[in-house]
Amino acid sequence: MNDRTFVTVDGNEAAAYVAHKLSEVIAIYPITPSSTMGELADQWTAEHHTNIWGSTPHVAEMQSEGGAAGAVHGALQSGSLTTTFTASQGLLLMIPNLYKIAGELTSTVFHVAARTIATQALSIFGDHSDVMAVRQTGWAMLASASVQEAQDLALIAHAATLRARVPFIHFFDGFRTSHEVMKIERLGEADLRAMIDDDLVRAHRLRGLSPDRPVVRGTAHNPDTFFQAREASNSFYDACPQIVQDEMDRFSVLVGRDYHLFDYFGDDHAERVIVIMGSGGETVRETARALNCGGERLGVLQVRLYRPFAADRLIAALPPSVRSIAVLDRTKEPGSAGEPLYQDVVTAIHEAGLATHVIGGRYGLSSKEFTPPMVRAVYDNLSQAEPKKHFTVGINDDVTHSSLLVDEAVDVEPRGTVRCVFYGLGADGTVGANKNSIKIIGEGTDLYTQGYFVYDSKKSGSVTVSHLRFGPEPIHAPYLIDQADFVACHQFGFLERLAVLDCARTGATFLINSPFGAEQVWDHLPRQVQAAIASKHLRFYVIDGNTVAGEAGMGGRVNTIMQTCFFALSGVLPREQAVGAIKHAIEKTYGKRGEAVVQRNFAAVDAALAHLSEVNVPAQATSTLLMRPSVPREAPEFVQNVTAVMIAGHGDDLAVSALPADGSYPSGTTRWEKRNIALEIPEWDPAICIQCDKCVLVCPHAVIRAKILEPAHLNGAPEGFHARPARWKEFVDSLYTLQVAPEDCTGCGLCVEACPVKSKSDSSRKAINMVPQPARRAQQAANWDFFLGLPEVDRARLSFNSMKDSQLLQPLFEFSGACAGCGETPYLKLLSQLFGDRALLANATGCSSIYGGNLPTTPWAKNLDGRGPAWSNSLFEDNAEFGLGFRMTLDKQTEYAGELVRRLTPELADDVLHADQSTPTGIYAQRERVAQLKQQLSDVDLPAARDLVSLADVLVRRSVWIVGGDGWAYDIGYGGLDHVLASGRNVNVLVLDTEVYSNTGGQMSKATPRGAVAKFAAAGKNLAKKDLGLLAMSYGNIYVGRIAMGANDAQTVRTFLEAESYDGPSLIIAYSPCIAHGYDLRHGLEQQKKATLSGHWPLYRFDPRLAVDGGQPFQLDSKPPSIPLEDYMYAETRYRMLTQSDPAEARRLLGLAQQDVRDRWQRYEQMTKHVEGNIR
Amino acid sequence: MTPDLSTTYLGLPLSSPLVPSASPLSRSLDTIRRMEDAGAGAVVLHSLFEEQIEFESHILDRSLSTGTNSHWESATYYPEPEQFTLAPDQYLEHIRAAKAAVGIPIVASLNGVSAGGWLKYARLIEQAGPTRSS
Repeated sequence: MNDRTFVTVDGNEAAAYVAHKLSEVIAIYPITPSSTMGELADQWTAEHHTNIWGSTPHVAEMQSEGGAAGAVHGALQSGSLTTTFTASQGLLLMIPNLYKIAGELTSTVFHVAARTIATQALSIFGDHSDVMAVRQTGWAMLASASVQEAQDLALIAHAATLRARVPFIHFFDGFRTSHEVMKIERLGEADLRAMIDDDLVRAHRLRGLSPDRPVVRGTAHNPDTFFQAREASNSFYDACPQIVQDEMDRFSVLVGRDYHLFDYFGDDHAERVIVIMGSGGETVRETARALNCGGERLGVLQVRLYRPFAADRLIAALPPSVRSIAVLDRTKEPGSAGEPLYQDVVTAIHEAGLATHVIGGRYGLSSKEFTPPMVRAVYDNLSQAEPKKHFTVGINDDVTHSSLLVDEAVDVEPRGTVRCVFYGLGADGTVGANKNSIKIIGEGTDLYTQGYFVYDSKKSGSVTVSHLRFGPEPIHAPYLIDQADFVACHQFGFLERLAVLDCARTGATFLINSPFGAEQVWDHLPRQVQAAIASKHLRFYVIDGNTVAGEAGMGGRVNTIMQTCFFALSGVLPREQAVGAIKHAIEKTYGKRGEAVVQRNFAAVDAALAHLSEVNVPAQATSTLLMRPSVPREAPEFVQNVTAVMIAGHGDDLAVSALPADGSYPSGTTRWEKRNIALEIPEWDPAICIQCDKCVLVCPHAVIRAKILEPAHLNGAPEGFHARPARWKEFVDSLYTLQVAPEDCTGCGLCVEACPVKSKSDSSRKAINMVPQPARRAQQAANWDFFLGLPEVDRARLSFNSMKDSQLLQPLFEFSGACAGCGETPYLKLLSQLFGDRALLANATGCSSIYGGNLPTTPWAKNLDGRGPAWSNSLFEDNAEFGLGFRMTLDKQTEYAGELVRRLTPELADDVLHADQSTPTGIYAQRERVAQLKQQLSDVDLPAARDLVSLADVLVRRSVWIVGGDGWAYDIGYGGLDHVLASGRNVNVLVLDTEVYSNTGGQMSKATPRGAVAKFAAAGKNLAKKDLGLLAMSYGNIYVGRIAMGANDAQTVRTFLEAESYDGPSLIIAYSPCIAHGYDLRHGLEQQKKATLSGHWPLYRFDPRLAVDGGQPFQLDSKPPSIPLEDYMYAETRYRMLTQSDPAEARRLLGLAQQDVRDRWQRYEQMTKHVEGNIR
Repeated sequence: MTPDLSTTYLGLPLSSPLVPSASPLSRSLDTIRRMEDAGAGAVVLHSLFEEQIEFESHILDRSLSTGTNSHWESATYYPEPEQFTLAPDQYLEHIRAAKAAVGIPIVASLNGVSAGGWLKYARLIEQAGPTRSS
């Protein structure tokens, strides 16, 4: 019986559906862009979805992809049907096990959302560099090119592996396919059952290890037998291609969709053929079809089975007429004779004795767009007498001139396809509504649909661009829309900085969410926008979505309002039917959150159309307003020429020569971005301010700063710039000022919550208060510029031990793209203030590496002397070791420099090599000494002298920081962290503990507390949080501090200073409120207090120096728990959710967690009473 | 000899006129049983507040929506169960459990804030099976 249905899903869900249905054991670990597959598998198991044998698969999250591969290997060897999901570095961590699994001829399928491997930079986007890095492991490799194929070939892979006994990697393009939402035909369970041979399943099971039929597998061989044994599996690989084709043929008979190892499309007599693998093949196919209609004779060979590489099948699939072939690889293999697929095709052609001319090229690295004009350029290259070899397409390589010239657009999409582009903010719900729209159209009509969603790299105020296609013909267009029939801009403010109408075709419809009505809006548009509307003859509509949303109680979420307008204007469905479908989708999406939420959305939908108006468009632009430049004119050259282009969304236009070849970028570039994302900003009330600087400390984005200045500095101050007599005994007769950066603020409000002052005349007012940004923007921007020009406070005059003083230090971490209210960034900012001018940072991959290092801009900054944190990211798993490498270099260089000083300038040796550098004054004096040393050596023409000059700067004490989140420190990087801490070297480790994998979307780590709900812990985390600090303390010689800035800021500052001053390994574990905790982060400080008061997060310091003379190294800095744990927990959704999904389990886990608190406190109290032995 | 204190209230036969009013005591089945054992003629449950239901719903919605579909790597931050048991569901379940736990009448207490809300939640309470709603 056919139980297939049409569904609207992305590639990850399409593949995971098959994998879950055909597995018994699944080991998972999150990595973009494959995480969703693991999340869905975990969720389906939590919901007791069964496999085709009626049993629910077991799903286990591991500590790394290496761990997942090991668990999978073990499960396979003991006879389970087992799978996993991964990408990029995750796949590389599995390589040793891949060899083993293949060597043991084990049936399994790994599903891979193919992603770029980090090289000169990390990239989360899609290409084939990861899967190409495992092509030698002995796995079969099957490539899907679309969402439909991601499902279909998943099934074919699972069926084939059982018969072939060769393990399969089934892969599809990361993001382009893994995250593209399409209407597909979902296979029925009957299809899956029909394709899987239960006899083969039982055979697989019987090959599993069992004491009832014992064998020894995994032996070690000597030179006498290994070679022969390695060749013993040849016949399995020889048979594999035919087995795959047989399964494809069975699938075709069963389902009706045809697949072949190599699928040829195009003219039967084609002379020019492109060979390609993955989603790019769809683009080539559609382009060839369109060009052939114009008289060309072109073809494309889509590679589906890449390994084992069936050369004879490839030759057979090509038309005999072919004269030249271009092989396109979505990967780069520097230094090779050519990229892998190219080399395979060359070999196949050569071994077949053909004279066909073959060239190779690269395209689409890191999800670079691959479009019909690029395809045409490749075909054009093939028709040249001397075609360019080893070319690139899609970029401008103006250095080695590898790139092909790409001409103007060519539209190959079928008539009737409607293309729509929506610009929104992450916070306004645009993407969510568009995902619903695709489902509404896909499941409510006969139309085919496609959706793809583009985000910028910011976690606050992020811009989203939704690309939707629908039409009567199947959609094969895996590239962005550049000729839209409908463009909607859901945020009026975008018009001054984004060219939203570049993608509109002539005669398109344009909808804007505007505070100005149909009669007024024209005069508020930038001139460039007016010109585009007029010249492209756009139909122009306006709605004040924010007012409608406000009246409906929706806040800033205009999504359903704009969605209703889209349906009304596009006419894809009759209006009443569309409204009904939207409401049905609202009930489906929000119904379980409560009736009130549903009704609020209904009200917004019902009110929307009454506020929608068409604008009469004048014939030409009339505005004097202009779009503002991406960066100010005074920005440095690199920022003007490169960074600004990326900010404007035109990074694709940058030529190779514009970009650093080794991945080194200037720091401190966020300051030029001026994102203006806050609706409200803080405003200082100097009259009642007590100058405590708490607001400065807690600001996650370094947009509130304080300075001490002299009265004379106020000369030339803008009107409205305030200063008050400084309340510092060290700065008598000086002034104090507090200034906000209005265009960089995210409006989180943490500063207001931190302010301890209340106005006596109005208790609702504090010394800092939120006010609307637009009205204050110009004046406060002028004030900010003036403030930046004021001299920084002399570090030597400040007491770093004082929290208040520490906030007069210039932050060298500013304006990051972190979430509004981020709990991590205040710690990094503090680190930068205290040690930034001499710090090296090793940053584990995660949130902090994204807001810290994701282009276009970087928040790590420099002071006026040009000094600042030197920052780098290696990987996720190796960060502690990476930072240790910094230390080893510094130690060796310091030693060598010392040797040279003693040899070349013995008179300076005592002063330079034994300087007291424990204070800012000491650091300053040492810098002077080193400068003098270098000056003295500048005229000495000896190799040793030149060596010393190049090394002398390391004689100024460096501060090595190893920074990362709990996913790194507790899980994937724990082994390395443990080893580095045990090394005894002088490194400082800062763990930004959000108690969850934040960056990849909230998966459980071993830092996740008992009772919290997280992905992979949908039923609540059952075990207590790992006590990382206690484990480190057990060594005895490691400084350990546990801090929570909101609970005790003075202890936080003190812990940083002590840790850094300790000449050995230090570990700081910092409580970091996170968006994944589920409350308004404006209240993050209060929640930190509750965490400490409840005993969930006791504060302490363990300082081995105190034990040297028999003292007690462990000091508790917080009082015994004084509030019930639930008072802390149930202020956060991550805990409260469990009371709403499983109240009984929530009560049980709450009880256990409360007992955890008691046990931990008792243990810590004991530790304050006894001196641990074996110290140092 | 135990005096007969039985009476009726709003048509309800009660073994005693002593009826504990809405209070936190009725949040737990254990204390409801103890009130019955102590001679209560009926128990009025703690109140169901309409605005509290709406507030809980809005908070859950905001928490589950914040930060979603905003970044390449994290479309969401929580697993979403197939169903949440929110305030009205928990209250209705409590009514059912209380009815099953004791023999005396259980009187529900509702505090609405809208005309539709009064009727809607009263009907739900009625369906859950309390003796009366107040």
